This record gives sequence, C-alpha cells and structure tokens, in this order.
Amino acid sequence: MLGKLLKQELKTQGKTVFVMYGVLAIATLLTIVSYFAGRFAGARIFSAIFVVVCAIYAMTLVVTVVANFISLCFHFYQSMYSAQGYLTHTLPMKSTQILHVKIVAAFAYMCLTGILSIASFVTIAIVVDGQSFASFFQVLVKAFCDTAQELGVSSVWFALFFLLLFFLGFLNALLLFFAGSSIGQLSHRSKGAFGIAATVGLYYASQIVSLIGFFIGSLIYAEKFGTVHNPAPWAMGAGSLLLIFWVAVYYMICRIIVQKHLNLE
Amino acid sequence: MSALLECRKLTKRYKTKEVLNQVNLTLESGRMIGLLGPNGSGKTTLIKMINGLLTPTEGELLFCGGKIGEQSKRHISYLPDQTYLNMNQKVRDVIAFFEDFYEDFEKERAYDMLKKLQISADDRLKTLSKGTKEKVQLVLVMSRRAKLYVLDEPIAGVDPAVRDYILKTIISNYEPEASVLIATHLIADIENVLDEVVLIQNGRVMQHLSVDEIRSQKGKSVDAYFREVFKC
Repeated sequence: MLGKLLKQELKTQGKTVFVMYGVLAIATLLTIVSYFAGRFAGARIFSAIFVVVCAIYAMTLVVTVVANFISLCFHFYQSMYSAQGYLTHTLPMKSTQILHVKIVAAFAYMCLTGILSIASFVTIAIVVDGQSFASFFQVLVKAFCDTAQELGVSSVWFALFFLLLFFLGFLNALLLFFAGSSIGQLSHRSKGAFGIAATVGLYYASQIVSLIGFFIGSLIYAEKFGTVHNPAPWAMGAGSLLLIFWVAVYYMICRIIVQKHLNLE
Repeated sequence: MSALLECRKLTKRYKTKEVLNQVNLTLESGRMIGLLGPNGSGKTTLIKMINGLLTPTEGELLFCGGKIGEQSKRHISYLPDQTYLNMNQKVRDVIAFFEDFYEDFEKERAYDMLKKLQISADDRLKTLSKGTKEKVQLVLVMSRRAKLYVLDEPIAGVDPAVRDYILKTIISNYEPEASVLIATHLIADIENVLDEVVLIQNGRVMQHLSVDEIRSQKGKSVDAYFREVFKC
C-alpha cells in the first residue's frame, strides 16, 4: 500500500515537475547553441545574443527551483488539507504513512531539482570553458580542498557538511512549509492565509532561536577554548545540528497535527 | 443485530461553539439510515468524524468495536458533499486508483455503472459537468463492498431524473448486511428507502426512530414529521 501511494504521489507530482525540467533542459541547450553560434560565426551580434541567453538561462534556473518548490508545497497542501484531503485521509492507511509518503516524494523531487540544476550549470560551464569533465572535476575538487584547508577542516568533513547542507536544506525548507500549512489547517477560516502566516512565523522563530543558540554556544566555546582554537569546525557542527533539530521539530509538528488534530472542516 | 457504529458522548467544539454535543448513537448493520437535520445541525461534522477527517474534542467513536483509523477506513465508503477527486485525472485513472487502494473495490461494477450512466472512462474529470462528477464519485463509492456507506448529501444539486438514478444505484448496489447512512435535506426523495432516521439539531441527537414508527405511531410521513419537529 505504501509503495502504491508513493508511486501515485511521484506520478501526480511528476507531471508538473518534469515540465519544468524540460524547460530547464531547453534553456541549457539554447545557451550552449548560442555559445557555439557566437564562437563559430564570429559576429558580434552572436556574442550579444549569448549574453542575453545567459541572462535568460540564469532566470530559468532560479525559476525552475523556486517554481518546483512552490508546486511541491502547493501539492502537499492541496492533497492533505483541501477537498482532495477527503480522499487522502480516507485511504486505508495510517495517517503517518500518508505523511511519510508525501515527504519522501516531495524531498526526492526537490533533490532531483537541485541535482539537475547543478548538472545543467556544470554542463554549460564545461562547454564554455572548453574543458573535459575530468579536468573540470579536478579543478572543482581542488577548490573544494583549498576551501576546506582554509577553514581548517578535513576535506572529508567539509564534503560531508556540504552534502548535509544540500540535502537537509531542501528537507528543512519543505518541512517548514508543510509544518506551516499543517498549523494553518487548524484554523476555522482562511486556512491558506493562516498557513502562510504560520510558515513565516515558524521561519522567524527558528532563526531567532538558532541565533540565540549559536550566540550562547559561541560564548561557551570562547570561554572554554579562547580564541586560539579554529572555530570553523565548531560552527559547521553546530550549524548541522541546528538544521537537524529544526527538521525534527517541523516533522513532529506535521506528525502530531496529522495524527491527532486533523481538521478538515 | 450487532453495533456497527457507536458514538459515546461524542463532542466537537470549536473554541466556545459546540458543533456536536454529547452525541450518543448506535447504528446497526443492514440498515438504511437517514441523518436528518436543518443546516448547521452537525450532520457533516458527525460524518467527517466517522471518516476520521475531524478529531473529536471529547467522547468516543467506535466502528465494529474499534477506534476510527486504518481498519475502519477499509470498511467505510464515504461520499463527501463536495468534489474531492483530482480534476486532472481521467475517470479511468480514478477507477485504477480506487482499485489499487481498496480491496473491496469492484472494477467491473464501476465500469458497468459508468456504462449505464453513459460516462466515458476516458473523459477527464475537469471536462465533466458538476452532476456528472457527482455521479462518478457515487459510482466509485458504491462500487465498494463496504460495511458502511456514508453519503453526505448524495442527491443535492442534481436534477430529479438523476436523483432517481442515484437512489436506484444506492439501493441496488449496497450489500444487504451493510448499512447506509445518508445525510440530506431532500427527505421526500429518500424516505421510501429509509429504515430509520436520526434527527439532529444544534449538535444533539433529538430522536432516533424507525420509519415504521413514524408512520404508524405519529401517522405522518418522514418529511411531514421532519417539518413538524424542525418548524421555525
């Protein structure tokens, strides 16, 4: 049953998401074509077109990520807390299973969006730079290692932090909205508006609490180690823990509301 | 007769407003029950609680002795008072969806009903009229071999001819050992098919009696009795 719902979920969300991937693919291709057109034709007009196409590409990239995020959030709200929720919540499944499927599907698409966006950007960079993928990758790894060294952390630790930030960042953003809309459905009127307000409220609350936590943590750190120690590993560790903490908080909000306070008036 | 559904002191409160107030109700198997009451009496709230869409503030709601949850949803077939399907899907997709998720769903029965109603399975839901969408939803709900059918205003908003067909569909498709709970205002249309009625007002169950009782003891039709009880 869980597998069936996941399949259904991926299929339903995929319809919108894949259209945007198509748009991104076309934008990438156009950018590459306009680059080669300028390079081989040599005319100035093509260089100007390339600049314009690059600008359009950058906008498409941003729009793809943002629109996908909005579409995933909208789908969650619609299928959980609007009229479609009547069907979702009368399926013979546990409410937590339904929630898990929604989160997994949205997270999978958000990660795919991130990976495809990076792949698209890297493809253009390789083509424009005229390098092979291997040499481009080497440059990237070197830059990565240099940054890690600069921060005084091991490259492996830095890579792990980077990956954690990438994936948990997406999960955090999705769950923030899911938690906000779950709180919103508790309201008896204007559930959507209340959901947005709750999302904004949760965001600021998390920022303030994190900042206070970070501040107190740094005071304790300074007290214990003084300024001799490199604070970068501490800051990265604390940042990761905070991210995990907020993911857990948002998840628990969704879980408790879906399980015990469903309010599909 | 065994208790199919049991409400014990069931209460739903929104801030200070009590939508359902200490409702005690027992429904048995094999009955056609009308849930009748004026607007805002708490019919839909009760129905949503039976389907797990609303959480009771107080009290208990049991289906076949167990709490509302995964198991009860396997056996309750629910028709809401509004369209709840994904409008971008085709009728065929929705049937496949129901077949996937409900073990008691009979695909052949659904296609048979669609054929009788002259609805194409390849039509997208968003291209259908309101009445046809309601028919599709009813087909989906009645194609299940459920223990309890909960129908919220199944005949509201459709013309009398369709109304007759819907009632015929309900009567001819539900399992004899199953019960049907119908919430409606259109009492005259359904009273001939009802076995018993639950009269609800201001979130309280006022009366729970059999249709025969109303006819023989009160000497009235259900519609006339409803008008008398809820006279403004």
